[in-house]
Amino acid sequence: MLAYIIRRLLLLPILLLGVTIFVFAVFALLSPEMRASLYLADVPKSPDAMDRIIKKYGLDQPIHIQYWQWLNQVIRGDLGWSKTAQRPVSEALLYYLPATLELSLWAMLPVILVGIWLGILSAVHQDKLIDHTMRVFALVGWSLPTFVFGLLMLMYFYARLQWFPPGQISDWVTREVINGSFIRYTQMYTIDAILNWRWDVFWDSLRHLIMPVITLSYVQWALLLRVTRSSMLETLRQEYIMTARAKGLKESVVINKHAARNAMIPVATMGGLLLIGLLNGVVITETIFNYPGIGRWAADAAIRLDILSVIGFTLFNGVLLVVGNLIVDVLYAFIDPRVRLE
Amino acid sequence: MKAVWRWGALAAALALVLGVTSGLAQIKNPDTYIEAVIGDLETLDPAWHYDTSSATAIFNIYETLVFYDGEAIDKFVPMLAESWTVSPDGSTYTFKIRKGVKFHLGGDLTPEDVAYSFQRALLQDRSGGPIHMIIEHVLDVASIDELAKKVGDAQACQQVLNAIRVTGPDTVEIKLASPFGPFIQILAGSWTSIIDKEWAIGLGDWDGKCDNWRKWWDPKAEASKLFDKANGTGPYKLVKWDKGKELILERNDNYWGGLAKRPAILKNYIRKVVPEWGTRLAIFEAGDADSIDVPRPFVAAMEPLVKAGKARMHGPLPGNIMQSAFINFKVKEGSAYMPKLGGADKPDLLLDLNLRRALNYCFDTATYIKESWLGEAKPINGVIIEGRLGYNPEQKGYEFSLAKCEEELKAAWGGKLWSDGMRLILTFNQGNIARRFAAEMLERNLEDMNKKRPGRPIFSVDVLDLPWPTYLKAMDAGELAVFWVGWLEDYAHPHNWVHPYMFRTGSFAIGQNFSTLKDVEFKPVYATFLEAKKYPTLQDLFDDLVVKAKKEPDQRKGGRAEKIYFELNRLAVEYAINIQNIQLQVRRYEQIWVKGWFYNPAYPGTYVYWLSKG
Amino acid sequence: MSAVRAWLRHSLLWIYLVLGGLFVFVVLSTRQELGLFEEPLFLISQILVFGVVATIITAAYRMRKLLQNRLSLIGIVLVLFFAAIAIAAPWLAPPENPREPYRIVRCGYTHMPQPPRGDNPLEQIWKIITKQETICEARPFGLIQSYDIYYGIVWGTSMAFFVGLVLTGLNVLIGLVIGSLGAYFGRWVDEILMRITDIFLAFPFLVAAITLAAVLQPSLGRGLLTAMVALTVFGWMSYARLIRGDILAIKERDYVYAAHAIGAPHYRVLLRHIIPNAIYPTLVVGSMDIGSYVLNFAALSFLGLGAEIGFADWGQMISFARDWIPRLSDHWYIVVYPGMAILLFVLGWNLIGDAFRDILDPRLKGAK
Repeated sequence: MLAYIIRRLLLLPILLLGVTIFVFAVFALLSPEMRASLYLADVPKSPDAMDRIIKKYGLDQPIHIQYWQWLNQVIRGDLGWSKTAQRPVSEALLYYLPATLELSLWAMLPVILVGIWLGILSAVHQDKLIDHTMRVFALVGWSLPTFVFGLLMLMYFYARLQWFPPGQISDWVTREVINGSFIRYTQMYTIDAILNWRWDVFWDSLRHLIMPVITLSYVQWALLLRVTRSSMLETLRQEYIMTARAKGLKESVVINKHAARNAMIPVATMGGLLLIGLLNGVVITETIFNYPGIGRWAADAAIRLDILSVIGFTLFNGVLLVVGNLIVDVLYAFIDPRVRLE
Repeated sequence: MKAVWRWGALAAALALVLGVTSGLAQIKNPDTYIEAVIGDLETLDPAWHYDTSSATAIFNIYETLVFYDGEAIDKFVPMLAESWTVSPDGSTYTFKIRKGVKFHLGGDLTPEDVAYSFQRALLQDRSGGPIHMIIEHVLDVASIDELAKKVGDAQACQQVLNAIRVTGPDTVEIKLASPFGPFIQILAGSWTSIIDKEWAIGLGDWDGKCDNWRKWWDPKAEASKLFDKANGTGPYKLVKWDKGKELILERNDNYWGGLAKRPAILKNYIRKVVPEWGTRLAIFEAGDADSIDVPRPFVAAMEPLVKAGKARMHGPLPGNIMQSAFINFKVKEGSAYMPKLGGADKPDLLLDLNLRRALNYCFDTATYIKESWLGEAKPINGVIIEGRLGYNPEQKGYEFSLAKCEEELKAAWGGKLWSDGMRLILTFNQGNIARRFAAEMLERNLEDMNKKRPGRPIFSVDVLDLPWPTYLKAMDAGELAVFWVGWLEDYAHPHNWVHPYMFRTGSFAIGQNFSTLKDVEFKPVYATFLEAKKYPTLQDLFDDLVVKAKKEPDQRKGGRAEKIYFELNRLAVEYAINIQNIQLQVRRYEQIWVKGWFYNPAYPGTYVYWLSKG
Repeated sequence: MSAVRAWLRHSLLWIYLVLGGLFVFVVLSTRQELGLFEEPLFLISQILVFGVVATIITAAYRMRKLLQNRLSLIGIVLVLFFAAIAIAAPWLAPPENPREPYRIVRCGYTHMPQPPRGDNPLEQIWKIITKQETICEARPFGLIQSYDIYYGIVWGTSMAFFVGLVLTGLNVLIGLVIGSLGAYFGRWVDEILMRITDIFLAFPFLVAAITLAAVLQPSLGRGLLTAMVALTVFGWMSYARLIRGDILAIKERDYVYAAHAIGAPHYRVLLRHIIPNAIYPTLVVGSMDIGSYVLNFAALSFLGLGAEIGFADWGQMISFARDWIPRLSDHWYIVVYPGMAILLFVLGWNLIGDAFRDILDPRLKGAK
């Protein structure tokens, strides 16, 4: 297994190199003038502005030279400047990541709990009303455009009822952070609130999180529900379940103790997919709820053709996926002894 | 209705359970002014910034030598200069610097700071930045780089130091290369904000010497040492710029007094970046923002709030943006947007005056303004907006008339256009709805003409929206035939209008090619003191008049400069260099508890110093 | 038993005949005024829609479970309903300019939403079909940015079929090529192709598509093409992996060895013997993704990277509504109609896919 892990990790640099070459190649489709427009918010007001900007940022050099320069920079540990985030790319990643991580972790909670619970419920009552209802409920979530759902929530729970505001945190917390009475250890407000023992901040942070978390997770439930349901259905037909039933065990014991546990093995492999789903989901969710996370930054950068930010985000993402999948594989091998990693 | 009731009851019950209180009708954050805006600043460096977002932050933090007098845009009051004098020939400005002013971090304001601020700005001269406006008048070149290439680096720097220098214990002198009446206008702009010399040098910015100023020349935004730091003399000081999220300013309690001889009233100023309009509106409705950016199309969403007395609306107020369709007299060869006459490429299709006039006659300005701008825009005949010197209310334009449009089309290219048909591509930048409406209206009216000329090759008019990068590139290369752009003025003077619209090196000149039109006769109507003359090209005529107006010492209303500007307006209309210019009007929406706001079109944003809540 | 089967086959034939006749009728009767051959988009999407209808009917015949299960029945009804709208679009909403049927009819020059006219939208639609009123007069669903919502939805249906099916088809095709080449030739070919697949998998789908669309826009222009290319470049990887796995399993079968033994060339073995036996699961998975492609396309449109403005596309109509959602109680029609259309369309496909998967999932064989 160690060999497997090493092989996978060795592939990582190749993968990342491939990713960056691809991104540069894609951006080579743009002319220097087009890329200069990132630095021109308005019509250039002096006649030489466009030429000077192209020179200054080296946009007129051949793309392979630009790539080589960038690579040299990266080797020295400098990912470049993110025009969109107004800070170095590496700093931008660190800056936006905790917020997205916090959001994703909170979203995992309902996704996993509700998804699995509903999946089991659905499987146990296969083809009954509750099964149909759950599946329709999940399928509607899967069929609903995130932006419509998110905006409807915002309109009702914030604009009308003023329960859950958009953004990440209220101004008064920001001011406490600035004057030092609230210390941000992890950059995740909910966790920091616990560490600071400040329940008012925790509650405030939670209020900001509720709507994006619901929006983000509603779409993902369907996936987990489906996997749990079919895995559960399969397990329920295994002989040892029959045996357990034949022994006269209570149905709830059979399901919770015997079936559900074994049905969870394939569900565990969904972790990687779930992460991808959440990372995709945050783009639009964060945009709608004005939540300062990595998804909004990435989408902004992409639309503004900010190549360095896009690459930085993609690199980060590639590492995350490879390492994430590796962990899932290894975990899976531990959970299910039948699996051997080659 | 019933469903709403039921939801309402449920909501009320849940609200009780959750213990959420509604904040209606009470002032939220009474000592803080919060704005929710579309975009973040680019920089806090006064010499670098050229966008209104940065300018808003900077003019609350820093101060300039002179400032606008209340709502006036052409009257100025001393700010960091106690007083100033202009030499009789109009080319030397001497400023007496105010004493007892302190920077936020403690330094005293000295004449050296003032001179340093100007010199630094001129030597930094970042590409696409605002400093070209000052360099143009002080050094008579387009950029410091141009000068340095002519006379050498050291000499160029020396010229800057000579032009702006400390002349006494409390005086600073600025010498212009040639007199420019509205120079004081430029000095009120936030790009000439005064910074603390010692502080800037301490941060590693330009050392005030001439040997290696190139080290600090044309930096990237983040390379400027003042990119995210600020130390001004203004009513607010920087607490934190959380990039992409918000800017937080705090009242300067050691303020020297400013215009009203008092510190600011509100303790904090927060500028939140909320790009999504729906979210912004929601924040406003919840009372968490005192004012928000309201894009034009969505004013209707604010109406109910105003009617219900929950928000206050100022406006419509005359803005300082004009939207125009520019016409290219000769499209660059090989352009993808090439016009055609009778099926063959015709780069100079729009050189024909009849056709240009037809485009104007076919544009239904009244309907366009009524529907697309909800009535809040003003047609401008000429290139100078209302409220500026040289605006001529008597100037006639082209009244919408399909009959006249038809007549002109029949006359265009000696009748060839009518018989052989044409192809024309109308372009604008993607996402701009109002410009799309304008282009589509023109498209429809021109294509409707096909019904009157059956059997002939058609008038094929296409509307094309281009992504911003493509648009900018094509415009810069002179490839567009007809294109819609808005111009936001830099300072409130007609020179800032005739220069971009008509001058040889103006922003749009490369996309207009006026010099294609040869042998132009000029007979003055308003400026009778000028002689009738024949010019080799239309461009030469425009250039001559623009320079004459700029150098004219008599810049008063009714004076000679105004007459020349009248002349330029008349020529712009007669030669139909644009399709109906439109001055946009603006509105401002604020919470009902905000007090003290007034409209000055030259302010880049909210000057929080005036405001209070309660 | 065989008699019943013959009858089934017989009635399927009947249905195919009716569908074919209908298709010919639609093409012939709209050939003139729709410029079918100048603007082939409508023709292509008509072919696709008829294909979908035929496939669904066939599948329902083959697998009666699809009809017995209430959920999949609803799904089938929904998809067939939309198919009917797409087929009848030229009559339901006659285009203003026949050369550009997908350009939404514009009534005026204001961005303000305009409420629907009349109390009963169906009545208004009837007036349009019977040509008592023009679309701008009837306005059954109201206007947004002066575009008629009803027109946009009707022609957007045709577009949704086009986008969903073509995107799925392209992605499955690319996945098929890469996956089967890798699996068949193995070793370094496989290694290279799978590493390329890994590289593409390193991009999160939506962010990658956004980036590519943004980069392509300046050169290709905003439009269908840009968005579809963006969604294709990053969409094929899962199919490649799936087909690769299936081929690896089949490669070792006797009949493949036999084909090699008699000296059949590579392409023949691959095309004749391997792919036909391995492609089925990939096609099923692909057909279940149709709905999600429509959603992703809508997401691109929402961010301003989808179809060109004024093009009949649901995602774009919702993006128009985006800025009015805070005032939705006044302008509900601008989000309810297109929102419902996209929700029901995607739901229909997902319901069918869900049932499909239940039926085909080998692990569930034997369950009732």
